[in-house]
Amino acid sequence: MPSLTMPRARADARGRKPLGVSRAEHRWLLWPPLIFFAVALGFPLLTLVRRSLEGGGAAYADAFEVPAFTGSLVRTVVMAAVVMALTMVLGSLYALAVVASPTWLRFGLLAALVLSLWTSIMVRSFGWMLLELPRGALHWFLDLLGLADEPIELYQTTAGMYPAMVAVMLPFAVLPVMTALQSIDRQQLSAATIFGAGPWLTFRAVTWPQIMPSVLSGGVLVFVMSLGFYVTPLLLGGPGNMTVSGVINAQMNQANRPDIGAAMSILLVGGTMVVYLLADRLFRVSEKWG
Amino acid sequence: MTIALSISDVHVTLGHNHVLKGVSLDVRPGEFVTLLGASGSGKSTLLNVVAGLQAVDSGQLTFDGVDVGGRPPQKRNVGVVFQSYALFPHMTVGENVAFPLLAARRPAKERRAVAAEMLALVRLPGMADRVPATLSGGQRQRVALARALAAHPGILLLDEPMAALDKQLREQMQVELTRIQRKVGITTVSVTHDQTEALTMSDRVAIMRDGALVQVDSPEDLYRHPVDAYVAGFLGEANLLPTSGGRILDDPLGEDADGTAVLRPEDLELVPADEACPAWHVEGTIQLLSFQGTRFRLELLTDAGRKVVCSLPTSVDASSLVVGTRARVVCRDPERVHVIAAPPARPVPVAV
Repeated sequence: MPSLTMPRARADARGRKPLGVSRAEHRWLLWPPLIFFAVALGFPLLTLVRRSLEGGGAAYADAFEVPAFTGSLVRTVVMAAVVMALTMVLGSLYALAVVASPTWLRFGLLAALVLSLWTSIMVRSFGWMLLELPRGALHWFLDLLGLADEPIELYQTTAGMYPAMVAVMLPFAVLPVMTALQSIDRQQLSAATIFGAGPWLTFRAVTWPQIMPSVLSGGVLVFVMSLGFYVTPLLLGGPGNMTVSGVINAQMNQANRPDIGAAMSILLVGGTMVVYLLADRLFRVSEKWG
Repeated sequence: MTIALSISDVHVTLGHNHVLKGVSLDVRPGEFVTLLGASGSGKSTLLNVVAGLQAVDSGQLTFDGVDVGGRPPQKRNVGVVFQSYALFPHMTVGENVAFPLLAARRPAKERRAVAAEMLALVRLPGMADRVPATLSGGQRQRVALARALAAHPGILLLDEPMAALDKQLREQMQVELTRIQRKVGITTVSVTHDQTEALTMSDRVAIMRDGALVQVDSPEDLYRHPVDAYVAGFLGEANLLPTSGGRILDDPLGEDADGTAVLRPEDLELVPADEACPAWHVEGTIQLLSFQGTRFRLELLTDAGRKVVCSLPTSVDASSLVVGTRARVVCRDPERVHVIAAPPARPVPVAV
């Protein structure tokens, strides 16, 4: 049997034509997005590269001479890693809660998630600020319960910065995990139960291995996006928590060294791309978002 | 290990739907019983009740006389082949098969040994390291069966086991599944809406309708002696004709009918119009003649407006059977006429 069918299958594969009409005819569809990316991304990036190379590349060496830069670089990476870890844990729990909830609660949880995605990052950061101010909403609430007599010291501290950043990034960690959870066949969970597995073994042996790639890809996305954090740490973390973006802003606008600022930007974008490409190779991040 | 299953007066309500209305069924150890019914008849719900995946409003469920109604599914020791097979895609075939033993915290060595043994039973030796995604539909079904049997359950439940297979493979797997079930000797309850599957594989078939069991019998008894018109029509094709005092009424519409005769199409044969005929016979106009490979299928419309279907051997002279002409058919063996004590539905008038 196989010897009879194999040659025919091969002949089919050889004779297969690409779908649709000839390729040249629909290639023009590629131009609008390409032009958009050239104008919106390529052009500014090229300008930055040119700026940074004005002094013959000395700006790159100078960038590392700026004492705030290396410090902020380490701080940004640590911050992104902490935000990533927190969103991965909370995002997975949130996604599990959404999938396990009855319909009305699921609707509420999803609405909260989508609304926060639709709200400007600026508005959300100011919201957290109002909450965290020494005599802000949090203080008012604790006072109501009789728990706070002193003004709380959360605003413009490292601890005050994280809840806001995690809240901003949470949807990006929840959505891919939720998709993965929803694509698990319910009968698999019934099967695990039937064959004697309790809730913990079912989660560990059946659910977790199937959502882990999505948890990782959500985490990578959050990490990459967190490297560019600017507004939220600036508002809530205070001057002691300046990120790379903050240092770049200072070089551009206050120190009047746009070439150093440009060099730093290129280093940040380049580093981010390296991280993303590595992660994509390892965890196939882009597939989870396609 | 195999057990006797007893279900008595089980009621289940889902929302406002009374899905099971007092179902009672006893299954002997080692017996293969199929629940057959249209979708929505409650057959899958009944299977879930046995598995413990569906709670009951009232009623009793016993395994070997022990009430298991309060036992969670994990503690019932049942094996299930799910409709989608529900294999774990991230595990190898061997890990899938050994999952019940993993849940029972058996050592890895034993798990591997049992997986190999079970895969040999379902004739997939050496497949333990493959991934489910690389298997064909039939192979996946065998893996699901191997997993269901791995922990030596007392009862095997099959939820539409053939639904995902194409027709040829389905027939092959019906034979294979029956072979394995007999070899293991395990009490088995299967659910299907495919009557051929039910007749081929089961010791007894339970016909379900609207949340109740209509008839539970051997395939042959169901076919020969259906309790009502629904069962008669559900299993194979049947001519339902009005009777009065045990005699088939020929032409009247069945005004004074007190029963229904069930005549199978293959029990009817052609008889010339001028031949004297002591047995029951009917004359009508030929509506349709179709060749079906091993048989001819002939549809007559009697003068009373009832459709009579006959299945004729291909040895008959088909050239005389022209649509629109008259033909006469007879049922020579009175034994083949089964009478139900309720009159049939009135025929829908057919425009001629």
